[in-house]
Amino acid sequence: MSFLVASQIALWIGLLTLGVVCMALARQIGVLHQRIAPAGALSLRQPLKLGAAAPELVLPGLDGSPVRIGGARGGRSQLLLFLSPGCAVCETLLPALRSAQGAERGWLDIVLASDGEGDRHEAFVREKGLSKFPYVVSEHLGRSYGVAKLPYAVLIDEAGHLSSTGLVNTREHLESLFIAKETGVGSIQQFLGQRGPRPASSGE
Amino acid sequence: MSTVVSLGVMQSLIAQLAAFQAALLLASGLHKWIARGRTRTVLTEFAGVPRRLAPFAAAAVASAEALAGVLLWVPSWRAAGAVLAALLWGGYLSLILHAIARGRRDVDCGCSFGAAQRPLGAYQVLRNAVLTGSALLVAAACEAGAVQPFLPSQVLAGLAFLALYGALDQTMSLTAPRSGELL
Repeated sequence: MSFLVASQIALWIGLLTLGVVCMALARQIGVLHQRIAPAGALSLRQPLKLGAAAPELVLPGLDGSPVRIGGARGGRSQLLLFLSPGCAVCETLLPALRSAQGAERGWLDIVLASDGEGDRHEAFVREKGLSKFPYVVSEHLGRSYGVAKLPYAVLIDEAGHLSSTGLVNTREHLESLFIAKETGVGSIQQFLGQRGPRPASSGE
Repeated sequence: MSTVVSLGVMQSLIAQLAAFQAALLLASGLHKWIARGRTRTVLTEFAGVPRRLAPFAAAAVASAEALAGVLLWVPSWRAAGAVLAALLWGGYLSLILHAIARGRRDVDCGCSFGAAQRPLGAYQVLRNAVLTGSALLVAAACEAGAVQPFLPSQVLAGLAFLALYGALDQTMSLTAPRSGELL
């Protein structure tokens, strides 16, 4: 057997091993993904119940145009994201929000909401490039939806009902609201309850 | 001289491709036989086979895949094996396209070794189109020239491609991120 043939066989064996390792790793990721619970947004105590009709409001946007909140929206859902210019976590969430606007554009409208002085918000919108989002400054809106901490998100389904809500600190928290709507599971507690108790291992 | 060399290279590449197809069909036939319950469900819900005929259809599909794999292994029957493989993969492709056209993307097509977590889409269509095309290529090459038994290095190449195919299969069956920078 020539050196060339031997080295070729060795290379194929190496590639075969690499393929098996990649397959095992991808399989492991799939298994882990099924085992862990989704990173659900933390639901806080709030006056509104999931499934109830969301308060309907028409408020002026930062640019002066009216923004309709809640109500039936012709097959489209609405995400209200409550944030503040002074909130560092809110700023870290903005890239995820832009991604969500693109990925979920087929069914979702995103509205940013806050309260306080209009000048600060106008500067915030300019600085962070948020002019593509309707932006509402209204203390009444926050009170209506029982917002106590920021950043807080409320997902209203196409029929105008409250689909999911929660404190969103990460991309995973934000996406968990969409998954909650798709699966009909309102909270992480409900999800874990549906899965049933996990079998205890010797290490637990 | 260069024509002879390139012909030899081409024959070697075709042999590696045929070895991969043989390994894939044998593994797939074996998997369908081991996971008979899933195969029956897939045939009923995806292919529209009547429930009472599903056990026979499952056995027939698993046997056809294994037969195509064995035929590809034998030099004198390699062309027939490649044609049978093209018919099988082409048939699966038409079923996938039919399901997508009817909006049934969430149905399990049974075309992955693990449980599918992603809906039917461009990946499955492209993969089956490539497999069908590659099987037709092997069939045409077998008709055009002399077919030799697989060399050990070609068998190893086929197995390596099968392992990479398995890795791709596992990766593409993972739940896709909704949005993000990676994909």
